Amino acid sequence: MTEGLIDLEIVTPGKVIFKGKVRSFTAPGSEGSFQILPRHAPFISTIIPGVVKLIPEEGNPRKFATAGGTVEVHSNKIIMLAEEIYPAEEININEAESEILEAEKILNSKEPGLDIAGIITKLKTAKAKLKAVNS
Amino acid sequence: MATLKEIRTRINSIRNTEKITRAMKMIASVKFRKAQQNVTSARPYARKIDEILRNLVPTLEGFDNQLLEVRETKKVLMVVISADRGLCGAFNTNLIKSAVNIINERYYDFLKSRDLLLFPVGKKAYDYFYKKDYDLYARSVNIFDRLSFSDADKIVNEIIQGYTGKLFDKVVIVYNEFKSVVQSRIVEEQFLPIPPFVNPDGSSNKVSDYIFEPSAREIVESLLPRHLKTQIWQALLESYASEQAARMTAMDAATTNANDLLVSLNLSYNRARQAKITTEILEIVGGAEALNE
Repeated sequence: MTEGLIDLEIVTPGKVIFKGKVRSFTAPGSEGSFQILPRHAPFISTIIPGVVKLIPEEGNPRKFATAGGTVEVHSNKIIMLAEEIYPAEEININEAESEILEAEKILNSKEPGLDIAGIITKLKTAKAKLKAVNS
Repeated sequence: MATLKEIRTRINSIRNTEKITRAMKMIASVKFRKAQQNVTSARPYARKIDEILRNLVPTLEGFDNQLLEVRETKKVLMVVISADRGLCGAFNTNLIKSAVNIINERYYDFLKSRDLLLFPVGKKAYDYFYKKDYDLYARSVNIFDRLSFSDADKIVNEIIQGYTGKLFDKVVIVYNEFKSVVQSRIVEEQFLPIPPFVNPDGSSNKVSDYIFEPSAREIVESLLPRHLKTQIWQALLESYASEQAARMTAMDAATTNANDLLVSLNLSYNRARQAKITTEILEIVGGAEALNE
């Protein structure tokens, strides 16, 4: 049953996080969350911080938290490029919580010259980590 | 001729040096293996970004982005990637020498009119260019011990800021491209404005039936800085792998030299000892003869 599958590759600058065939792939696009099923039309979208879900060919659905990136779909193949992406199994809840606290503290300090966008991304990524583990 | 004691001290000190160089060689070879792995594993990401951009940029008619636009070159920024530490043979010396050569050959006029800015990455390059009174735009030192993608991120953000702020109109990077353990090549690459996305054969891809979310323009705009970051990230990784390879070779040579030295020192030690014993025997025999008479 190769028809019901689509190739997926999740790549970071450091390594290839996932490579294989999946039944479905869900990601938080910048214009709303979307799901990609096999034989999807060519498609490119940017990803915002959030939770990425996929259903592999065999085994349980897997979840990842990402800080954003780009997804390209092309000839029944999905390529996800992300600078940061963490499999739910490897996320440490305590760490994520302290990251949230720290990001909020920095945001509240309102110091001049802050990289606000960068910190908001961090905050959202940390929240996505919690969501990936808990949902 | 040196006395026995002197030779013994030298033998001991060289033995210690040999231990150190041997340890450094082993550490370097472990780090090198890791660095080499990092170089290979960074490639897919860079290739994919490049691929997407190659597909997209040619489809955008009349797309102008500051990072792609070619301006009249009034000021140049040169990013020089060296190592943070020494003891890696001629690695840093060669790199800095090549960088200076490139400056003298191609950017001499800019240098004369003080329109050449430098961005040293790695302590050795910074030390050199700072001492020689070049104009520095920024620096990034002591990053190689714990190299992470955020280092590349910071460097690129700084460069983009200066470039869009028109502090310079062209950016080149000079670094060691990793070939193999015994071979690395110093290369100069144009970084900004981004060279046009065409295939090696000169053609350009045209894939126009993509669905874009949001617009193609916004996607390319978000990809371009990331393309630059992966480029710097790769340059950093390659330079680091070359550095470790150079250190490995240098320390291997040092260990061999120390061993050679030990062999010849041992020889003169034994010779001196033998000579001493012979003299002593002669003295004893001579003394005994004298008593007999």
